[in-house]
Amino acid sequence: MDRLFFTCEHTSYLVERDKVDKLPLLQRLRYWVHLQYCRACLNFKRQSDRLDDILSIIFHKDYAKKKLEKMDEASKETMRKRLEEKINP
Amino acid sequence: MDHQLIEWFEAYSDDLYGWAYYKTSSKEVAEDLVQDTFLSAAKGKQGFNNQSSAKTWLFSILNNKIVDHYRGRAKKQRMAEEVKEKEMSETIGSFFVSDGSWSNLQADNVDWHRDRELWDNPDFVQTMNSCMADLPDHWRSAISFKYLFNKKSKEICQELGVTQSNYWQIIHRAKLFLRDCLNKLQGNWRRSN
Repeated sequence: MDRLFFTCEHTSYLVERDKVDKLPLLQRLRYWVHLQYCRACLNFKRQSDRLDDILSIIFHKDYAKKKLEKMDEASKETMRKRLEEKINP
Repeated sequence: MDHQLIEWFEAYSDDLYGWAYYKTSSKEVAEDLVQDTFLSAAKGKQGFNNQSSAKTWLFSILNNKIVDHYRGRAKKQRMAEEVKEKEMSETIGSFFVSDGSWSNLQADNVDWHRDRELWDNPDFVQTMNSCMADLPDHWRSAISFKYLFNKKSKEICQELGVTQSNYWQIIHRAKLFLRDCLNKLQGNWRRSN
């Protein structure tokens, strides 16, 4: 019986792996069966799915702010001079 | 610097900097990467045959520099971070009991994931950022590559210099840690509910 059903620890690993690279069919079936009877693992999967959404949005919102950052003029001028020194020694 | 490089510098350095800053979250590193990009462009200019626009070419140089930065950083910090990773792996191991079931604490039916629009709650975002900061650097890099760059796992493994099974394991442990961290700190953003 133990071989038929995955442990919660293994199932939690498969929650992530299934998102990255689809599980083989038999493994996916056994994984799905575990989620049907284990509330704790189903809860973990829901939280993991939510984390995926949250992390994507937070990272992209962060991008919207950061991509507008420009070098200040002093740093730009320093970089220009440094490049000239290195390219035309 | 020749005339064309100066033109490229004036036209594109801000865009390159903004992108590098977003990818690395460090102004100093972003400046270094932009400088290295123009140095490489100066060396390789003979080979630039206008098949793509100058901006595209410069961005491709910059993206390679960013990948090298992450790879180099992961290698350098690996030794210093090994202890932290080991301790964190042991902590995560304690989330499960000997038969592989969740420990009582982890099996609690915590439901913060049902809260709406968490990403618009500054207290939640601050809590999330603090949980992310507690991750070992190598794990945080893996998370960044997955969500920031939105690349396939094979590409991420190549860029981080890890095997696929190692990558899955890192993501698994990082997510377990983040979930546990949010479970413990949910009072930070839910106190007004």
